Amino acid sequence: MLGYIAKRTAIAVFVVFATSALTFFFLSLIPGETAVTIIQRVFVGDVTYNPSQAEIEATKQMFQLGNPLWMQYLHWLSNALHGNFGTSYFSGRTVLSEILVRLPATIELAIAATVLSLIVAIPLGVISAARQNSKVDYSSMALATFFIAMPNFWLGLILILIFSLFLDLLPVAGYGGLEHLILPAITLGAGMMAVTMRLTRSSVLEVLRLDYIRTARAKGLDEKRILYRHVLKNAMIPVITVAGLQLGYLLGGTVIVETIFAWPGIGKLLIDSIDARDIAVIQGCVVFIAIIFSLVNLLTDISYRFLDPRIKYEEV
Amino acid sequence: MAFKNKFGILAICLVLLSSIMLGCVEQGTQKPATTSLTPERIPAVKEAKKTLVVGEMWVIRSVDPAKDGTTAKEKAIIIETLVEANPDFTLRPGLAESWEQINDTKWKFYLRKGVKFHDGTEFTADTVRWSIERALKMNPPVKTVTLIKSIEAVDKNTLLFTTEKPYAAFPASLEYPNLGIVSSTSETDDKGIIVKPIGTGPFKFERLDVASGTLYLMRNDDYWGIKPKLEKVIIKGIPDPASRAMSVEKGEVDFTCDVPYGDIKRLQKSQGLKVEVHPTARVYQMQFGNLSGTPYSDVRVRKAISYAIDRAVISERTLHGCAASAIGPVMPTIAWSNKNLKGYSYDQKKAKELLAEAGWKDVDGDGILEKDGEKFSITLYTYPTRPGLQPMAEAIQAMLKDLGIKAEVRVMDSSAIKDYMTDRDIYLVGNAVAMVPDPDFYLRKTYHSKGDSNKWGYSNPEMDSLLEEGLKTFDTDKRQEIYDRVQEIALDEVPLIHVAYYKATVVMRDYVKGFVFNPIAHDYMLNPEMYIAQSKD
Repeated sequence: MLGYIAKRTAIAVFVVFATSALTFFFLSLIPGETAVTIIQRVFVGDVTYNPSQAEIEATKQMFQLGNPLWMQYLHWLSNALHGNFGTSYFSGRTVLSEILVRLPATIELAIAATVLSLIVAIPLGVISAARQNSKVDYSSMALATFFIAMPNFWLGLILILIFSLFLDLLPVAGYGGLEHLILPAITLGAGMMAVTMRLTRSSVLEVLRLDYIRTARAKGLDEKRILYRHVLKNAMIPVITVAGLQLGYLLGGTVIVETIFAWPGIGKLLIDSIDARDIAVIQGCVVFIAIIFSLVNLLTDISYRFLDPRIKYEEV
Repeated sequence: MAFKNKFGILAICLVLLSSIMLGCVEQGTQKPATTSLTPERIPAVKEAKKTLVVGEMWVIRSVDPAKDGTTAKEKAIIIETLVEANPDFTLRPGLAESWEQINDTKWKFYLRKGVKFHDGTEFTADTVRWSIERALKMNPPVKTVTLIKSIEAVDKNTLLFTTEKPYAAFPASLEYPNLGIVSSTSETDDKGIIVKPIGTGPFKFERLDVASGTLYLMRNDDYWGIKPKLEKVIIKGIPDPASRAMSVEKGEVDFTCDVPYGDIKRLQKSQGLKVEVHPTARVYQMQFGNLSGTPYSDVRVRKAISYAIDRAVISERTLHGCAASAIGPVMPTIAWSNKNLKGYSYDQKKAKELLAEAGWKDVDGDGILEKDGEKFSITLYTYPTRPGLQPMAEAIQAMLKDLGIKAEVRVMDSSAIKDYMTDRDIYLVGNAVAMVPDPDFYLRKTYHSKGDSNKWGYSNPEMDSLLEEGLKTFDTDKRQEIYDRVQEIALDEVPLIHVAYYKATVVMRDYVKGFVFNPIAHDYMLNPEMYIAQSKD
């Protein structure tokens, strides 16, 4: 078991390292000279401004942009290993402080979205499976299809339109109390809810067809008991795994959802930094998200083995 | 037994929880029982009646004037410059009461007396010198704009500036937002970046919420000018234009700008809102890839394209009235614009004649013009950050098609366009023409053969000498003659085509009074006369 954890951890570290290198080199492919974009977006605030050669030279010197790419990366890496992820061109604050100040908002939103989607998805999924091809099944299928198909930038705006403008129940955008959290959490969690609901349904159906369920039925156990005591326990294993993976995709979704709802999290920081070409912050955000993603994956992998003893037997 | 049944209990709990939540939603929906399409709006409860909440289009990330002068000087009016500008872009005294020219390169500025910084420190020539030198060091374009060589504090209230060369636009250049004066007592971080600016303006900096990019301001009761009426201002960054529109509609913000064009009609009809559309100093223009070795080397082709653009349709329909048909390089609302220019009125017939004269004919009858076996087929590039640009590019595409020019529209990030655009292509941009409230800066950058913006290689010796003359001509009337001629040539030789003058949209709740739009602002500028008419609750 320990060997397995060590192996998975090594892979996770490699993923983070590879992500950092790839991001760094892809960011260098962004069109336009870095010095020019800094002048346009930081110093002048106008993307159509054409800087003079003297301005470009002065900016290059100011931000030490002359070094070759691999040198810049090694420099970044050695700093990053010491906990220094660089400084934002835009705000002048360190990348780490920019990320940490926004982390609570993103965690809050991600947890709310996950909880909300599981609360709705699991019961609906179980009911759909238990009453296969019933009205509940079909309508939950329709709901899931709708939520998977709808892009969250559209869903978010429609929810604002309905719940904030027409019904006047919830605020449009911003960070505040529970009422501010509801719409972004629904928007962000909708896709996860749909996936989890369908997966719960198919997983329950699959388990229902297994031999030991037939045995239970043959013993004369009633259906409810079979469903809650025997089926659900095993059917939940893949659901938990996927929920863990979904949390990673959720972080990707925050980029759009946080922008629509002016939610001060990491996703919005990433978008603002991309707009501003604040390369150090973009790099920092991507690496940070990669770390969280790998960590969640690692924990899911490990928990999976605790939940499903069969995996352990196969290894031996 | 109970323990073994935990999944059952869990499931029941989940169902119960979700039904409670559903119940909440249902209960909630009962509140506004009216199902009409225009529901009654309950104005948001505000923490104070004299607080203005602004929905800002950018996320405010820095309040250091040397880095981001626009926020501190225009939006938040925390800091002020020595020279200020009137709505027609003529100069007026700011923190400097007056100024005089000593010789070609030396200027004396006399500071306003009785001004105090927000923390009570005295406003002196030494602080001004420190503040301007700081901006020069931290922001390279400030140097290009001002051409300052040295600054000397002659006495407590007098400054002597020396410029690198004779520079008639010097007083105007001191209006540049990054040159807003901050006190040396402003709080900085360990890298010397100002985190708590102390200025002289109508509002004081209270705090910046870094995560959400929200700026909190309070009234400066000791302001030397018109006493501000609002007690507090909150500037909230809401980058999504549709969210901004809905926020002001619901009353979560009292004031916002730059809403989607498609929403303007709805907002105008919405009760309790005012929508204002104002001219600014930005022009939508078509820049040619290169003026030599391309079809555009023939001035008749450039003129033909200019005649083929139906500017009225673009301003009124494509841009929903948020623009005015362009005439010359500078809009008539600006003092130094050449008022005698006529512009290119839409004339498809004349455009076709000019192209025929230039040798462009549709030989094979496919609707696309040819010359020397080459088809007139180009790409029209533009970028997505200004919502009017893409629809405008598509309208122009259709107008060029009528002329026999096949144009493909490509929208991409402004930094990427340079890598893709060829000499034959056209770039549609929204360009600021009065970054400095003086004719020199923009016109020289754009029309001088060595201008930084002149990527298309326009070169006319008369134009060059006029622009150089304007730089060192200090007599106002003589300068106007020079720049009138510059604009006349610019219109006549069409090195670039002016399509429309951009207009800014401002949306506010009707209880916001006293707002005066200032065209100097990049997006909008608050003013001390603003107040809130009645209780918002």
